[in-house]
Amino acid sequence: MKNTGQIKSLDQMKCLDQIRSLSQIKSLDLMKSLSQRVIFRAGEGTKNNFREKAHHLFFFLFALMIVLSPCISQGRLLSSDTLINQSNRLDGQTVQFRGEVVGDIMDRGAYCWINVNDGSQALGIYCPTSMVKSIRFIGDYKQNGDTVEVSGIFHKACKQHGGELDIHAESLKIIQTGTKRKHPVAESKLYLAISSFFCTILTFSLHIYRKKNRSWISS
Amino acid sequence: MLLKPQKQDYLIIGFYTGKIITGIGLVMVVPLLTSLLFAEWNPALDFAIGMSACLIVGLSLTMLCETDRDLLWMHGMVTAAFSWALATLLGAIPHYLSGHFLSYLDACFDIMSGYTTTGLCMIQNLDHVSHGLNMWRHLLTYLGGQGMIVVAITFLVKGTAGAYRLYVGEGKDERLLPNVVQTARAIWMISLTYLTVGTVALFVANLLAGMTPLRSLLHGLWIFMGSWSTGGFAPQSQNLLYYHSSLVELVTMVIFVIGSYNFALHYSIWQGNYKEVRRNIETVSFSTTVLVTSVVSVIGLMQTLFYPNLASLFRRCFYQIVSAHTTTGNATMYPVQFLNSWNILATMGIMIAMSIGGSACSTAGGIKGIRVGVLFQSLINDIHRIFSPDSAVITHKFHHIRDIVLEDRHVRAAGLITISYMGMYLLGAVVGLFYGYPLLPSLFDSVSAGSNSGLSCGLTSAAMPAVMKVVYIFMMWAGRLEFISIFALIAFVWAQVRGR
Repeated sequence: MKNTGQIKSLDQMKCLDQIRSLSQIKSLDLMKSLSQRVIFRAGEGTKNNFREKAHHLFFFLFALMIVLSPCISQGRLLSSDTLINQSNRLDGQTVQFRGEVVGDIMDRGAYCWINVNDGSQALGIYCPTSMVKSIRFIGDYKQNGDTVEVSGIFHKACKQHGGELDIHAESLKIIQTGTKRKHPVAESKLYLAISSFFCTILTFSLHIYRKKNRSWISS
Repeated sequence: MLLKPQKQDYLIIGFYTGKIITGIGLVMVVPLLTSLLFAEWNPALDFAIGMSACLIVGLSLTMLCETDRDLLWMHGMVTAAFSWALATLLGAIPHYLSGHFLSYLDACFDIMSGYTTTGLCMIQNLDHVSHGLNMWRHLLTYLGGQGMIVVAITFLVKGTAGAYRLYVGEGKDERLLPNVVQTARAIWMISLTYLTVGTVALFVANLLAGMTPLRSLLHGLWIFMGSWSTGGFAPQSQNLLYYHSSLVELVTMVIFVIGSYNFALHYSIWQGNYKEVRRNIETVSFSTTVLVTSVVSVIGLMQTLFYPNLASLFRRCFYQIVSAHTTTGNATMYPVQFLNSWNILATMGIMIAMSIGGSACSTAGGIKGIRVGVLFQSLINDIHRIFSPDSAVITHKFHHIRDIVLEDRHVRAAGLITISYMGMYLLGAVVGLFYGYPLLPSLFDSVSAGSNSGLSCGLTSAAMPAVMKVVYIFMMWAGRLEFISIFALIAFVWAQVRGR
């Protein structure tokens, strides 16, 4: 099968990755400064005090992890590569996936299929038809599709859809509205096309002339 | 002793190559008109430039090399190999100008993949490709399935004995009718009839899948071309997974199974000889090996417990197996899933299916069912001989359109081509290993390229080293033309250098 990537969307993905890594760095900095403060305070006391402070530190960190973990897991967007490569681990979990709607909205009555491409690969999203009514642009040659963020249950091999890898959407929001794609005609290409067209006419005329000449000589 | 090629040899090869290239140029009218119809001005210019290049080169060659002499076997073989290479270089012009390829080599890779009905591709941003370019991608794989030389013979070449040698040079040796031009026209008649029926069936299936009428029609036409030619191209990046439709899967599966059958078998059925389907060595061989490889892959997948139920397992497994066996390459799963979701046994089933391939004189690639059948019959024959008295004369027959007595020459020819394919699969795998890829993906994609299948487990991409791309292009070319023409071209060049 075909392994395809996308130049423009890949750039967009890189930007997204950078944003994600920046946010991770920020949260790491926050964690560092918090723990440093606690350790600094712990270092001020006696030995007994130190043990008590260490316990406090431990519980503080533990509580922080508990509080932050749902936020981290719910806020984390997963790429198509992660979903496909780690399908066993993520099977049945609620995931968030972001990308451009491409091709068609395939209406199947109450539910429909859309295909969302995150720049690396497109994934099939199965969702209620009412959920996609706000989608205005679908990606093709003439337009960039709406960028949507889907939250839903990920299936590595969906029982309902014959073992297909898909996401059953629970919510869908439009992150960015699509745009018309401009394809300005390059002047150089136009000149090349015109000149090659005249060369073809010339070659063809010469070919016809030679053919006629030859048949006249042979007759 | 090798004889140095004479000027006349070059003239004959140049003249017929010119005809074939002119044919390719004329075919570009279809994507050009498609682009104009959908107001895609840039792609229209790309095709105008590509078409002009083909016509200028083609017509110039026919003028400069004009000759009345007929082709000998050597000319037929060399012309077939050379014209495919030149058609690839020129056919890649619209691809490259479209901006969907990172290099001209990538564009050539996709063109060779299309002509040879392989289906591996390097195209970028496929979901935003113009209708014109999609038409060209699928049209070239459709033409490649019938054979570019068949196209040229139908319209541009006189039906001489030399034309038959040209036809054989393209890896086809079935003469459906006494005259090679009539044979080429019969192939076209069969293909165009199926094109109409198949497109209508896929149009309906796409409509039921929820697509708009216009897109249903376009996708129906393109998927038909990709499936019938056992090319495996599709207009969207997810390939057949895009449609999320069991009906589309079923219709395409029927189309590529029919497409992988020998044109002689099709013609026989057209003449009312329905029993041929049951009796032909290729259909028997195909059914047997599909069954065996399916069992291998199903057992492998049952070990993984990846699929939630048997119905899902069977639907995914059987589609990939039949697609691999017919060397189509349409897929309903993501490439890397062969590595991270299937186990080695299941993937091995796919590899065996790809390596065997479809029927001879069809749109399919691979070793071919007839050779597997002949080698198996020969094995049975030898075992039979061991258990018989020395004085016994043992003859075996196989049925292909008519009963044929199995002779040593059949076994030798089948064995030689089989060894060549095996060697080529190994060569591609070694090159992959050289570049640091693991064994399984190296072997998988190598078998896929050499057998013109087109399934990939993720190795084949634009990021692949350029040398590997060149090796895969060579493998697709050699596999499709079944080596002899390529050997003839190499010998021709060698004779020019070292001949007397």
